[in-house]
Amino acid sequence: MQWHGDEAARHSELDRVSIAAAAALNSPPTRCTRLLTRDDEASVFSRLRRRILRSVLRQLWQESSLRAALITFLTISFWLIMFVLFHEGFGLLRTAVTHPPTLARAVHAVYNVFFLSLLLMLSVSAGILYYAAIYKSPEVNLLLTLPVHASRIAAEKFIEATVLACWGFVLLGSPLLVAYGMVNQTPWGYFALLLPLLISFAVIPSAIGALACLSLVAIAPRYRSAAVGVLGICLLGVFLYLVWIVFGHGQQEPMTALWLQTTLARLRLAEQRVLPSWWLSTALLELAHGGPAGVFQAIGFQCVLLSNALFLPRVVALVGGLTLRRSYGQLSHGTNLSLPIRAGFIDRALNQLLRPMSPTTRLVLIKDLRLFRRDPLQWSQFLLFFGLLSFYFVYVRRFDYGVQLTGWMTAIGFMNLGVVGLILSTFTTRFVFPLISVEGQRFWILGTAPVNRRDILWSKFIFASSITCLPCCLLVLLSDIALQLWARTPAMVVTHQLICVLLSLGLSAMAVGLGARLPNLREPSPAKIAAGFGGTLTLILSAVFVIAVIVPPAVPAYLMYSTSHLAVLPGSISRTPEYWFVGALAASIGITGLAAWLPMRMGFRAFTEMELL
Amino acid sequence: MIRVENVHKAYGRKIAVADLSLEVRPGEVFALLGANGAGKTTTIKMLVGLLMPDAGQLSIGGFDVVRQTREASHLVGYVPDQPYLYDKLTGREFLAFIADMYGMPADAAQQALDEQIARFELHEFADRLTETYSHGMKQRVVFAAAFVHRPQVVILDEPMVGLDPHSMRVVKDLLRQQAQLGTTIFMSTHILSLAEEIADRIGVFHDGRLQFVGTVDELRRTRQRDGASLEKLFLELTSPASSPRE
Repeated sequence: MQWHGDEAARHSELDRVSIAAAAALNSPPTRCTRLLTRDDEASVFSRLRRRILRSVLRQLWQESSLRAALITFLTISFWLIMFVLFHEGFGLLRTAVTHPPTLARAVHAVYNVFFLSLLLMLSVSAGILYYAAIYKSPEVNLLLTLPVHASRIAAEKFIEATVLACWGFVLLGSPLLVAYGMVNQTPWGYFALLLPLLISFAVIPSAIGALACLSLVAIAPRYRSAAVGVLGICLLGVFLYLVWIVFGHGQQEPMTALWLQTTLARLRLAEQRVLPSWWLSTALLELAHGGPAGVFQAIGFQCVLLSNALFLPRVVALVGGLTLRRSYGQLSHGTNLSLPIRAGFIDRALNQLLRPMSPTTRLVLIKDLRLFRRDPLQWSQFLLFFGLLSFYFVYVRRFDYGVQLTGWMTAIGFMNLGVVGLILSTFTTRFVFPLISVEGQRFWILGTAPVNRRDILWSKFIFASSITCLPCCLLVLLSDIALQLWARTPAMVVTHQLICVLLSLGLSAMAVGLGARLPNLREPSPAKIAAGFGGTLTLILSAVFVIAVIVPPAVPAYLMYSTSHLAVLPGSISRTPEYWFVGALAASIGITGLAAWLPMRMGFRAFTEMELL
Repeated sequence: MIRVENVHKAYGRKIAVADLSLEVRPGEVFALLGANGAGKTTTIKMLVGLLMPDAGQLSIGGFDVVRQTREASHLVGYVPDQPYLYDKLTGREFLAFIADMYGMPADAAQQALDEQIARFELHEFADRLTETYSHGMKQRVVFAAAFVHRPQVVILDEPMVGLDPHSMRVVKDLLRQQAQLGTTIFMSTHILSLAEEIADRIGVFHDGRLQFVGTVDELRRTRQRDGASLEKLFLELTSPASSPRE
């Protein structure tokens, strides 16, 4: 019996084991196995994770040390930039608000809201990641056939989802809190407890998300309509409550004592003492300003956070143990087999609308839009981010801005544009960048078809820019209306729309081009493709592009409507900002052209030469 | 060793398996035949604990697959139709993980690994990451993993997919050999010649219902078609004219 390869080499290895093997091949089945205890199972999985981690690190070091070094360098750079920004911000706040109790109260309120927002966002994010990790993973298909407790599988997947959901939180939260500690010269205990507090806190929303996911999936297949209805009613209730909080008050002039008091009163929602976000913010501020008594209080809060962080994953494992096998079977092996999916009205309309395009571009474009529409994971995150932003823009409208604040309104308008651009850059990196890699795994379909590969790439670009452009333009328009810019400076509204289109085109081209130039054809998960080297590089370059396109016109635009001058700028800009504004806008168009052309060119070349695997 | 009693499974309105009852004895090779969507994979997935029946009972070695899933799967080695291997593990590490999962002591696990590596001739690539394997290599590792803990029952879903002729021969010999040693073999296949060659009994599925259980000779006698090929008999049984039993 032979398989393949060189016989001589094989036989030397065969000799080594032949005696044992020959004996075993002819012996009856024996019972040399046993069922593992829960602790044993944990050890086996721990060994497995260690082996995988070791393998990944070794591979990264041996095969792509430059890539590893670049990722480390970029991560550290990102952390340092965030730290400097937060440090400057807290420094400014400290000099602006001279009354320490007011400052402490304001910081506490902001922390409460910040961590409550993170609590909600991490819960949603972890819930989605947990769903993908447990119900869409082929690994679970293997594990469920092994003699392992379902609760252990649920626990292992919870760890995976938590790490994926929370690393960004720790990366973003740590420079903020370290900067606060350094500006306020907090005692060393603050820094010592920072990481344990953050990690303990991060586990809690992750567990809430995982529990919600398990419960929903366990209930949904049988009571799908009821579950969706209840969830819808809950979300509607939360939305109406938030609307009442935001709109249930009259308009106020910002930056006044009354405005501060009212704002703090509105933020009391985040001060509920049952909320883990309140425990965290209180612990941090007690450590920073509470003296020795504060340290004891902070340790108390750390114990509360830690006990919850230890307890809730147990509940996840317990619920997973009870529901996983049944819900996995119901969900993963098709409960919708009887529901035929037909080409919808949208597809037919698009087919007509896109007639002027080449048939290849049109077909690939419609296919991509169809996949996008049928994958709620993609549009739900987009919807969530943009929903939150819309809410913020509408909230901004509640303030009464005097005419003298036009300069500031212009600046805030550009800042909002920047936020939209940065969120768009995460979207294009997360969802557009992996498009070619995912296509690459099924590349034989398009690769063997009589189509021009350049058309495929064009269709990806058109797909990405078309689904990003319209919502972004609408969102920025909403922001401008909220800031009353339409009535003050319509030219700025038009400028913002133009920049929005530039951002959409540039970011889409970068994601498509770099996605084709740096594909990961082995990884089936788009999330993991986006988290790799190519995705990280695209994200960073996209962020640089957003800044490069927005900042040049933003500065002269601010100067055009502001009475103050920025001392750091050359006098010519302050004297003739209009000319500089037009020049900067032209530069933004040029930068967009370059940022779109270069990656697309690289992408075309790489994609044309790509081989079928 | 395998007992299936009045099992029913539906996906929404579509009935995948209807009132299935079956028993497979120790040391027997049983092949489940049927067209695509006939219910073979659903039956196998219920046996290995990936799906739960809507009604009826499945047991392996006396353990209820639904209520005593771990105990039942402890006796089983499973070769799925779409194998999954950890990309960042070597073949040897993957086999070690499976041996660990079945609670094998370190020395027995090492011996079992050596046996399987020799049996499936994995030594050329056993220490390379599985992400570099071809489909055939992966399939051989999955076979090795199914046998590493010396299971009493081996369940295989389309086992020959992706194997070259040499590998197929090895698998056929292995399955017969294991059956002679007392292992129960339960497999689904589209390859009728495979069933004819190595199966002690066959079961023919059509539209979620078991149309026939027995030996190929019994099928010929039942259909009064002496000398007819299994292919011909199978096509007759599963033709649209052949209405399912109620």
